[in-house]
Amino acid sequence: MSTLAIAQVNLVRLLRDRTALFFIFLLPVVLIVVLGTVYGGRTAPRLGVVSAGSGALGADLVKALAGGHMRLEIRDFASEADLRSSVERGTLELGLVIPPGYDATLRGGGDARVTVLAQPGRVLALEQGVGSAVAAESAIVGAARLAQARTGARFDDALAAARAAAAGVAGVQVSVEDSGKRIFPTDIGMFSLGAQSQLILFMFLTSMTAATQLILTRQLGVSRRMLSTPTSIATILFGEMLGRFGVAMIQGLFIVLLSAFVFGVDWGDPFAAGVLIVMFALVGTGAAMVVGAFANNPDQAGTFGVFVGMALGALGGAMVPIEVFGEPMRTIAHVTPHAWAIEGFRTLVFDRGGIVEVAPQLGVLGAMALCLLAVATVKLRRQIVGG
Amino acid sequence: MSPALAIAARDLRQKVRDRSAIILSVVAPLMLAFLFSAMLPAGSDVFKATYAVVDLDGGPIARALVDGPLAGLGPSGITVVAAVNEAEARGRVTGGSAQAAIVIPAGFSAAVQSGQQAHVTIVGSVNATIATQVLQSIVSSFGSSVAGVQLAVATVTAAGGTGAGDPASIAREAQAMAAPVTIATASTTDRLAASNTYYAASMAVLFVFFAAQFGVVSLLGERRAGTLARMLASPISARTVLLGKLLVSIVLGAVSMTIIAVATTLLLGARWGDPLAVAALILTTVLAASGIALVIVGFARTEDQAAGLTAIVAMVLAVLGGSFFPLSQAPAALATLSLATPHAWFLRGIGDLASGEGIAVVLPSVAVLGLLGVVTCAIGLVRAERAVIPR
Repeated sequence: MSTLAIAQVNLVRLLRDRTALFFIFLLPVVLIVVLGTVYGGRTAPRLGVVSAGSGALGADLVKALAGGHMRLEIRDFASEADLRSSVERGTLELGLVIPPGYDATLRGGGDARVTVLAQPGRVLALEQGVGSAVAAESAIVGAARLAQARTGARFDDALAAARAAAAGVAGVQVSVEDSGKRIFPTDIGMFSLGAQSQLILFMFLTSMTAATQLILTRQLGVSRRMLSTPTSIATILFGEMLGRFGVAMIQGLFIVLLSAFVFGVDWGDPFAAGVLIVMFALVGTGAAMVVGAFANNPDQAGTFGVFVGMALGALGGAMVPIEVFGEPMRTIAHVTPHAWAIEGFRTLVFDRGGIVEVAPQLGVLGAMALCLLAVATVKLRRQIVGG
Repeated sequence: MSPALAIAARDLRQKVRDRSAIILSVVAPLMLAFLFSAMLPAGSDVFKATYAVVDLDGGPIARALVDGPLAGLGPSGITVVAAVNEAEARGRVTGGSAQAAIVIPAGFSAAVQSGQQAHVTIVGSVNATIATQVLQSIVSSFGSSVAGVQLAVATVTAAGGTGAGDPASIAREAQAMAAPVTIATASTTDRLAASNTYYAASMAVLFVFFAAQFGVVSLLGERRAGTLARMLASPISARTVLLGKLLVSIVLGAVSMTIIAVATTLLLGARWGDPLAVAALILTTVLAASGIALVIVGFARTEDQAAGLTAIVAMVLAVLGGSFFPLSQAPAALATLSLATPHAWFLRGIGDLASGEGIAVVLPSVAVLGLLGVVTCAIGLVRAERAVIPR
């Protein structure tokens, strides 16, 4: 009972601290929203177009690009300087300048040149993406020109004839097949990836703040309380830890429920997801106990705890998805509980797995928790026995 | 000014021995910058792809495709490898040694030459969408050019009936004609820092808020301990004490950012750019961070409260300012909002320096950061003089 009472006091104390509330509840949600907005929505490359004064043929080219297989997202720009600046800063993948007089030049029998803008290192490859639409338009204009020259037809009539004929030309049909399994399924919703990683990142950070509490309890309260009440040290320590474990669990539940109901994030099999969260919170609590057992200065332990939480989060794929890591970091990442927990959620959500499918991840997390808790308990007992 | 310097010197001596301050100002940002640079290998922003090509036809049109557009892709970062059969090509895509494969079936050349529809199949990895689309585009362009002759014949015939001439002569003329529309490429100036530089800079600007707070937050500690009242009892003005504390913040922040810039340059190969321009960016950013910290101190009652508020403000600004992830993919509204943060301006400045240009290119960033610094420092000094100094 006293364990629970201590845990409760610990929990209430934390929930009254506004800074803590911000870091436990608000910041993860803000990050999920921002991550989803920035990375979740769009997959098509963005093409900025400057086409002022390029006439009807310029508009035709833009239409051909918009309907092309690159599924480019087209944005209009007023000036080449704006376009260039956007490409430079990465807010566009590609820029295309269709020069003023494009239409008139082509109608007059001249050759026109459009300019593709992209960052160095990508420009030659992405140019190819624009190339097929340009080649198709070029073939149509060329055919119209020839018809004009040979038959004396008006250019517009010849152009209309070429467009009509283009549909009937056999040509080369290109069929595209998808191969392999998507790293990130397209139907998971824009907030899923962010929700998984932020849940893991922040639950661990919250658990790590327990280290400070543990040292404070050890240094200030324990001896006095031990002498004045029939409560054992073990009970007090266990209560403090249970309090922080409870906070991490409340935080986890809050993030999962809010993201599920407000942002439509799918967490997969509820039972398996629940067990995964509990296991991960246990690892976090174990890590906090180890820090709390070995450190002596509560301020330093607090800073160190946050630092460890952020470093492990980064390494374990809770900041940048592990799927974009290069080797050997992808393998090294699996020294962190974060990588295992996130892998578990990927299995639950992307592969529709259940408790059996995430058994390996649960096993590793369980073993980590057990080791950390054992090391911390031995060290703490020694400290207490040794005075 | 000398009492302010004395106060600053004493505080700085204390901070050098404070392990929390060192972890937050130097160790944590360096460690995270190191992790990010290890996780995201350099050069991941350069387009690279491998295409497997199976030519089961071997005819002239297939050879024209393989030896023409597909052969000249080296400068685009694309490697083309030949596969003996479709299974091998598919296997390469599945196994990840190629991003896409193209299968040219037997009879391809004959079909094109006889005006029949010809087919090619592209097998693309679902995780390499752009590489697949680029290959599709290359083949489609080639298709447009070979079909161009057919198109010309069809168009001339449709426009002029039989009087337009015989198909063979139209085809010859069409073949001889140059493409009316061509593409020129222009690469833009590089204004995006490589990922190791970006994360070094973003961690530096994230943690400078924590480094800078140590100076001014100690005001609240000195007030609690009573040493502030004692200082003010001596012939030192409140403004002098505040300036001394602000100076500590600025020095701590500048030292933190400088150490990160130098260490990531030496250890991670980060390229921050022109040293003078980097110094100007660091100095103005530190001024802004110190000013913001001082404003917070002016509104806080205790050290804990000030530290908590600083952490909250620092994290919110960092998220919005692109410290955790680049905002170049963000919707326009978010990108505009980010310009309200010092982080966005600092990172924009570092990005500008990737072009290799000098201090002139970062003047807009330096001006905004400097203005932000001066305004927040002024507000902070006035507010802190009223709220923190005991009367």
